[in-house]
Amino acid sequence: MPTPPADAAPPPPATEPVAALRGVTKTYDELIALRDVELDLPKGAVGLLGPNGAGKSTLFRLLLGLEIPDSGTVDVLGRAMPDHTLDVLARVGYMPEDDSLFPGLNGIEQVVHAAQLSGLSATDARSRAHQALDLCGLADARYRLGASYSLGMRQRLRLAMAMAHGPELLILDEPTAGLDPEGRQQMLDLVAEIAAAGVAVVLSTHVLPDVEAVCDHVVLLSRGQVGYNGTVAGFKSGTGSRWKIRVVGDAQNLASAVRAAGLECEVEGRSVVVSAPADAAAMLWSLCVGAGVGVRAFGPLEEDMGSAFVRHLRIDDPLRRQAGAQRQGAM
Amino acid sequence: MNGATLNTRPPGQKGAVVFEPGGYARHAGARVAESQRLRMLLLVFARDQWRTTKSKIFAVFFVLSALVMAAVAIVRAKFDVQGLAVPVADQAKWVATLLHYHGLITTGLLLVGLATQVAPQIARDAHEGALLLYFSRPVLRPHYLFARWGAACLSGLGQILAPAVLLIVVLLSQYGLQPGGCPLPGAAGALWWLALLVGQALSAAAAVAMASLVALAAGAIVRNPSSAPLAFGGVILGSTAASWVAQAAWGRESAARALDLHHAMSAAWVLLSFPIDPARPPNTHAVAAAGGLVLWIALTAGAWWSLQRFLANPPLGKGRS
Repeated sequence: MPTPPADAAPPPPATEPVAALRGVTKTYDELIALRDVELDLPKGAVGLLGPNGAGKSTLFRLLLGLEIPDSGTVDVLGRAMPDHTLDVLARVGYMPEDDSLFPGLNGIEQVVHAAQLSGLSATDARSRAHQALDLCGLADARYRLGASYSLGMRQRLRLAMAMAHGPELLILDEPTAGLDPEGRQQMLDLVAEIAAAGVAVVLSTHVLPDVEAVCDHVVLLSRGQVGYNGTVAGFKSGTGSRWKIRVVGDAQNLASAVRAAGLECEVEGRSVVVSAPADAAAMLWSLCVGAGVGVRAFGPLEEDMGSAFVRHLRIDDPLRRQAGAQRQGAM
Repeated sequence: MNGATLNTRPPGQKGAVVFEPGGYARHAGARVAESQRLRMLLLVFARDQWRTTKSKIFAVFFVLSALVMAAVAIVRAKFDVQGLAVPVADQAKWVATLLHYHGLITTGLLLVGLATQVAPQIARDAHEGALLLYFSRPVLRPHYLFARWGAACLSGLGQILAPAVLLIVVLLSQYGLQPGGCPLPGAAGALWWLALLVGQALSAAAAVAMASLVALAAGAIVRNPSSAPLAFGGVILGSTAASWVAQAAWGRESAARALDLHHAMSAAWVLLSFPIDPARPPNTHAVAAAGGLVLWIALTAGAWWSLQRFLANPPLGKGRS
């Protein structure tokens, strides 16, 4: 007898995070994978960034109830993990990073099996599986053995397996790894479409433009801690704002004036990049006038994702912070 | 995922409904209850047992063994030739003995089947990263184990019992309700046949349940689908070899027979149908069978412990076995 749909339960309000971690610490022997993490993952598409070993996989495992935190609490879709693991997992889709498939099954069987495991009836699972494979562009290969698929096809097959049961939260671990440019774009379009349909998406990747293309929110993990949690625009502009002033004349004159005003800056050719608050435009303009330089371009600095990623990691690196402090002490 | 439906018939498959591509849509239908998911998992794993052509061909050997035994029974019942016909007084005992030997053949086949088809299952799931696919969905680890074990048991029980029932029906047709030497007179002889059937079922259930769990554990321990059959087969063949060596040292009618795990698989049947024979030394059939049963129970307990340890910290991800 079919039970009322699990997703008939009222979905979390738009303002409520799809996942919330409170004081979560997870260690493996002596390795601290996550350290006292406080994190809210909002609805929409969230990009999870971080270097290797930052704790991304551990975070996913905690969200999926595969691991239990040493301390702290994990709530997913408003339910506490791991107490409500079965209920939560029926509403979550997960695409693993590994090249994992069910052994010995063809494409359609893989997706049907996955959908049934997630709680769909055999009839629903079959019909949803066909739709998911069509959506992922695998309609022509659905009766081929999954193991015979190319790497890109297997990626798309795993996405079909993750979304066939209609999850509320889709966790994608490196979804574009191994895809050619066209396949990557198709995958990103698909993820964007799923996110636009109201599904919360958490996407982990090392390909930073992918995050920029799909996500409106970024979480940066570094050394088991949250280094950044906010919008993509904020990620690129930093915690304060950075301004780029391109001058006519000697940029060093302006740099000296800026430093004299107590602000940090770097000279890049004929440009000066100043770390200053977002409302510092008038002050900076007066510094330019005072320094006697002509201004060719003036405005907030937009970094690309890669530069922003590296900058955030530097900020977040305690060893670098310590070395910087020592340098300043020596001066 | 909205779209009009087209009826197509994909090659080599039954009719299916193919949808034209549409946009993504949330699933608004019902979800099945947890108990149904477990049953579905069991059915999927049971189907998995019969997926390959090798497994289908292998099943034929079980029926073939019953047909050969049935042919022997018919010949020895029909032809009243000196030395070939079963003496009337020994008919009941001969029927029980024939079923015992048939059990030895089918359990031997079962062990080969367990080694080649069941032992690699968990190892393959671990090796291919499928465990992560299962456990990242609403599948409890004990449910996964019970479904794998249940599917192996159902398949093995069917393979052993179906030919046994076939053989019993043939024997019944040849010797009637009351074969010579039957302890139950007249129509009550039907109860004797029923007892044989129940004994076969109990014996098969015990043997299949224990052996399949040990086979699954062998795969979980080695975590390599290629090595799993060797690990399980090595245990069985090793026990047989050890039994032969021990019998050579201590004598054939010694407790050394209990070391033979294959021979002991029909232990429950032996214990049910061969009460200790006062004409033979006490440590023969029944005593050896009881010893073998104890050995299997110990192995099963070890297998259970190993599987629990494996599932407490399974390799999640491809190639992480």
